[in-house]
Amino acid sequence: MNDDEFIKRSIRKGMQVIDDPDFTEKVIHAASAARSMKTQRPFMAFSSLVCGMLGLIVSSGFVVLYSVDALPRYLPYIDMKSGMIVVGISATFLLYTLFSDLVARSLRPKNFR
Amino acid sequence: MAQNLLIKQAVAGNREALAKLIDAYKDIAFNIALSVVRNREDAKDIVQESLVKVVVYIDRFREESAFSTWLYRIVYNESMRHVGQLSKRAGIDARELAWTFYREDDAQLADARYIEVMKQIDKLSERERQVVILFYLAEKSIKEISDITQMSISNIKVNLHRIRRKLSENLGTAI
Repeated sequence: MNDDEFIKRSIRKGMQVIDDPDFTEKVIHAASAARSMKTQRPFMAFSSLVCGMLGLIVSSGFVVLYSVDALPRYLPYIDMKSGMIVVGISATFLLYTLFSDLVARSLRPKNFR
Repeated sequence: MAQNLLIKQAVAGNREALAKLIDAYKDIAFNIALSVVRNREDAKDIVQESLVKVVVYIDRFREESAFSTWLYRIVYNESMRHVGQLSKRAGIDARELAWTFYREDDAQLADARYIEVMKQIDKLSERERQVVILFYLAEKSIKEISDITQMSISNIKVNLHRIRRKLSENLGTAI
């Protein structure tokens, strides 16, 4: 037996193994979850972006209508404060959507060609 | 050939093919990670994360290299990234230095020559140990080791020569 063969045999003998019988199943399960995220994510991101923008436009419209005294005639129970809260929530949601998309892009693995 | 078929089936979403691919490479991938991070739990997590990535992005595999080379490169990069993060956090090389190839409780240690080889491998430098695992255990060529580790081919050749010399010198007539 030559040197290389002996070293190879010895290392193969001493090879460490993953002592978890469910390891393969866990990988497949995690991968299928990650895969569905991968396919659904662009649609979800786009949908939430559209929802966020619509919310922002609609609530801004309410504020504008209220400021020119047009709104109280139709919706007397909405005051300026409520309108601003809606604008705030919509803007936060929109920023969150944009931010989470940027973070997801930066976390994309670099090992893949 | 059989491997290409397995990969194609795995790309198509065949669960059985995926399981076979994972089973075929997980232990060698584990040893590669272990040679870098030197901690069993961390190595296991790294292999799991790497395999998940490989399965998710398997459709991007271009067959420019062997599937195993692609996988081992991902495992190696993930391991190096993990070590980098640990060192940054701790400010030092925080790996568990206690991990060795040579294990006292190993029933296989009846063979004295085997014990010697394991002990000698533990004395090798970190780079040399990684080359040993990739060359002898993963059975990768020098070019493939270079692709995985980004070491130059001449550097790997020098390392291999040094490893063989060290082992031969220390083992003497044992080999």
